[in-house]
Amino acid sequence: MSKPTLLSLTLILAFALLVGCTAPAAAPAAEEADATMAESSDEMAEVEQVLIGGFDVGPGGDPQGVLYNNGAGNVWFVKMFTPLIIMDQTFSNHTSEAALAVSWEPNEDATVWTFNLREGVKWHDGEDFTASDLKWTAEFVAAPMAAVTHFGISQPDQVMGWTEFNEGEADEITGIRVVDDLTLEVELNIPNPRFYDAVRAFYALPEHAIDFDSTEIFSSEWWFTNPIGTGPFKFESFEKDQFMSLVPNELYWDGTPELDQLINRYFVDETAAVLALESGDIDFTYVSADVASRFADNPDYQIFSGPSFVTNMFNFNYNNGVWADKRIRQAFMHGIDRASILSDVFNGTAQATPCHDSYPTFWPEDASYYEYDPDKARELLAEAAADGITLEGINLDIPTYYTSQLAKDILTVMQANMADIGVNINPTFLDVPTWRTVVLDNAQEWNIAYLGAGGGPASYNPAWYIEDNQWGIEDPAYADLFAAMDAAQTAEEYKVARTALCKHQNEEATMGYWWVSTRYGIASVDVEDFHYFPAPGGGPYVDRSQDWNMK
Amino acid sequence: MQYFLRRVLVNIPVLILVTIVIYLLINLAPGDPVDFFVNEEIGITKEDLDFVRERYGLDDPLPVRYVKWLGQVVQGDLGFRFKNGDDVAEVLAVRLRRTFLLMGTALAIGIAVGVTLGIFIGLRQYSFWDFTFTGLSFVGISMPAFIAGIFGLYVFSVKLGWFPSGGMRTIGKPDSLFDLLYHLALPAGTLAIFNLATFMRYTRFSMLEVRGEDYVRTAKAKGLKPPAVTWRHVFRNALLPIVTVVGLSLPTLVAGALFTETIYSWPGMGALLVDAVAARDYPMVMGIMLVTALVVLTANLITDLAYAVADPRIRYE
Amino acid sequence: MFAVVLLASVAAPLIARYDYAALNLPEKFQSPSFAHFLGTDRVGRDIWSRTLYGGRVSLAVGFAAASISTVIGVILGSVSGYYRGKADQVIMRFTDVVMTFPRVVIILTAAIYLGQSIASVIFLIGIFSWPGITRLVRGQVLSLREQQFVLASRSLGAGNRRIIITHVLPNVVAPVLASVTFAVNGAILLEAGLSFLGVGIPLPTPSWGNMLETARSLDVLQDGPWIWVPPAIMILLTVLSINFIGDGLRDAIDPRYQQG
Repeated sequence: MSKPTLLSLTLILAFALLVGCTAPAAAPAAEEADATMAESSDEMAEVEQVLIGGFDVGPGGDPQGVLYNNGAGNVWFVKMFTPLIIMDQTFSNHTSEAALAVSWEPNEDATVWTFNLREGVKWHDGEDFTASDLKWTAEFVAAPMAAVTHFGISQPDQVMGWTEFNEGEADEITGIRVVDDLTLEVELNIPNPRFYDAVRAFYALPEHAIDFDSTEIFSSEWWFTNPIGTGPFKFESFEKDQFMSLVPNELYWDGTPELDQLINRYFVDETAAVLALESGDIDFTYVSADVASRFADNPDYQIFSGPSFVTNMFNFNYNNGVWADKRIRQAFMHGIDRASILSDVFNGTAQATPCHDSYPTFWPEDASYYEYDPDKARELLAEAAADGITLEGINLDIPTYYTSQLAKDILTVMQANMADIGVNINPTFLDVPTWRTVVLDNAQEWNIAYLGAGGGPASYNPAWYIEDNQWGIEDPAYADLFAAMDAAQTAEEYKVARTALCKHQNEEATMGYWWVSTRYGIASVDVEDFHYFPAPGGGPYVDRSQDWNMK
Repeated sequence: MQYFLRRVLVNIPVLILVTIVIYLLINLAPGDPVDFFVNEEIGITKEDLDFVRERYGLDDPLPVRYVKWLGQVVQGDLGFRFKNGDDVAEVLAVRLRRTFLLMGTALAIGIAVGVTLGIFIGLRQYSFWDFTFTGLSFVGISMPAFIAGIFGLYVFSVKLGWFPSGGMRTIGKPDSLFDLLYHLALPAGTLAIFNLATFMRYTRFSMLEVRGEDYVRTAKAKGLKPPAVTWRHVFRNALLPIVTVVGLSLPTLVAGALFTETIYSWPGMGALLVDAVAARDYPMVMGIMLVTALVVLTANLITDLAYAVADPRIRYE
Repeated sequence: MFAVVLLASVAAPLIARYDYAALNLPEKFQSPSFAHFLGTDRVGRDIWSRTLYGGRVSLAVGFAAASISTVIGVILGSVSGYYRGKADQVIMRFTDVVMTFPRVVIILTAAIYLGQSIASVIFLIGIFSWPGITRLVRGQVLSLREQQFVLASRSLGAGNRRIIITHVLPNVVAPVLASVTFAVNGAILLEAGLSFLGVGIPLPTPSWGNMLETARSLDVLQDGPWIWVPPAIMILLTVLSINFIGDGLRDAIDPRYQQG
């Protein structure tokens, strides 16, 4: 082979590869382009108001998710679909606002709840929304073979007839009744004065427009080709793994939205989203705490923030070792310099928490925050050692699924603090499924896990603390404390009971409760009347997206 | 030809063996596909999970599941994703196209520029150019792909505004070849730097190696002009390691580059594998692995055949 | 140059002014100063000390992993390429199988069974990298065994092992050295990635890889170059050194080149 042959061979190879690849990718897209071009050229006269955001960045977001799939993507889905009731804007008072229901009230013993629905709500295709859509949705997602693990109604087994229906023994959920087109009644097996807290993610789906089976909820193309909801925006187009585009719903009961287009761009990585925001390609994204400070003094951006409602803690495994001894637990609480971590590692983007509860409303005023006191920690360990209880020879690997640099920094400080008092802990960073295998399936092998736990402001899963809990906590006080909460009739009684629970956890240091971190959303100043809030589970919360507009 | 057929036939049991090993490995890995359906904030009972498990056939013993899977694959059915019910074959088709475009461009640039520069500096060992190009290319590879990607975005998108901040097309604008290339430039450029360094190094080393060979000296003694010597003899013989390295790079055309795809929001195969593994989405993982294994085996076969072309003395009986 | 890098790492305890793990939160994220030559990281650790100590881990990982894969690669590759036939078939098909292994999955599994340690990092990286070198060496040997000087010594009755060692191996040095450069570099960088999946170097031990990885955070990348530039430069110097050593080595091994 001669020189020109080889040279040209190289060039041809390179060129062929390039052309070969671009051709198939470009061809189908070209057809679409014609269509959109024709459409948009008419409206080019006035400036289009388009908002592009990374609405599925951060915890809770899942671009591949669909409604009733693990609760993901509420921030986005609430643009298209509407829940029965909804969190208020910042959830600061933990109150619910009207959404599909305008009012709701229980009967005397709180076993039957009546929801009065909004008049004049229409589906995107013009059909009327009625109470029977809600009953149908409940049955659709609770169908025996649906395998939906998130039902929109938390703890759905409290709804009468739900279990029977879910197990295929009944044709309908008898506890959910359509009184008339605008009235829905829900009957419960047990009295629950706080049932409203359980239906905030209960979105309505259109009975008339859904053409797939319950078993296809996760796999149906419907969600990405022609979803029909009652929200302020309706579906326009979807490019898998890239973006979804919505346009205003002219039939929306609270007026047509101002934006001409609302686009959710998908990012695999948060840093990529932040860079897209900085380059001006998108107008909004979720960001983590360490990045939010970059935008703090920048007049081009507006910052939205709120607590994560997730308590980060050391989960002590009482099934093993020495954790039943309070002195050992308290040695950890005094041995770690929580105040410095909050001020210097979190840079003030997290708040100390006294107990498991992530809602400050329920924190007792006289709670102890276990001041950093290494001497006291050493003393406590020495006292315990005198009774033959020591940490020696115990596996102190700390599995965690938090793998960000911030989490590494935090655990590094904790490790150094504990080393100062003679305890060597070793954080291990795992992916979530591995973490679950290590922590849940091999509970005999570890002693401390670093994790986060959340919950609702009016519901509290007792499974962690009462009888037969998986961590082996044996504290009889918890049964009474939880029972008192269940028995509470008024909001005030409930608050007192839940505060008492918090107080007990705080005194006992049942787990190593550390902090609730702050989460952030950053929007460009060009977006007006915008609202974002890092709600528990991503919401849904009132964001009034119909008012959003671009300068 | 006979050799070729035999190799293809041998590859079939090898491929099956590979899938068995991979199937075993995935199932051995900690974690469970149903974990994806678990949300701590909602509270899910063990019965719910068992139900999901049964629905996906995860309650069968491992060998049964493998045989079922293999049976489907033989019929051309790669199954559906656990995570969202997508057809695995369809997902692969879309993602492969994207990754092939990205990696193909990067590889083509890398080979073309890398080999050229390699020859250039191979003929000028220890010269200014040798040190300059060597140094520069090593700057590129001494940085993790992810950081290089952030750097690229930060400089060329945020600061200079020359290129878009990732993605594959401008949202809201009509799709065009230009737009695609515009989005391709940064990620492909970042990847090309690494390829370039690789090919430059191997080419340079091989050039130096064969320059000292007897036949090159003979050729020179015969009075052949230096360029002729270079092309006819030196480069020809330096080709062998380059062929191997190209062969070793071919699988990346379908495997993709995780970090580059992630930071540039280029949804290709690398990001897909991580997504599938994170959800322990066995059908998707197996689909990706099957394609990758096929390409690895084919690339190795092609490489072996290419040896015989590059060096006619190598014969396969 | 390399001697300096190596020496600095070996002599780290003598040169470092602070304990690499010593926190100093009040002095966190400081740019270089007299107290801290290279500044401090986000929890106030001295970058100078961490860079020096990080070299120990990174160089150990880089060289051990590269050595494992190179030794395996050269032996299997030359046997396979030289003897051809059955040996070739078996070795190459085995190589094929290993090349198709899904890294992420193996690493996840290893996280449970191996845990965090330098040894498991070296092992994991080592077992992934040898197939490439094997194929590279084999390709060279396939060609070499047909060349005149090999054929000549065979006809003179030299044993196979002797031929491999005296004639074949010196001629595969060049591509192998090139690949060693990349293997060392790859291992140093890959090490940091492993820590996200539960196997990597345990906290708080520094390595150049995990120091560099902190630049994932935008504020470190942009506002704290003193944190990630030093390890990046060290990696660059190391890789360049290996490369030049490789150059020198092949000049020394290959007498023909000195005339050419």
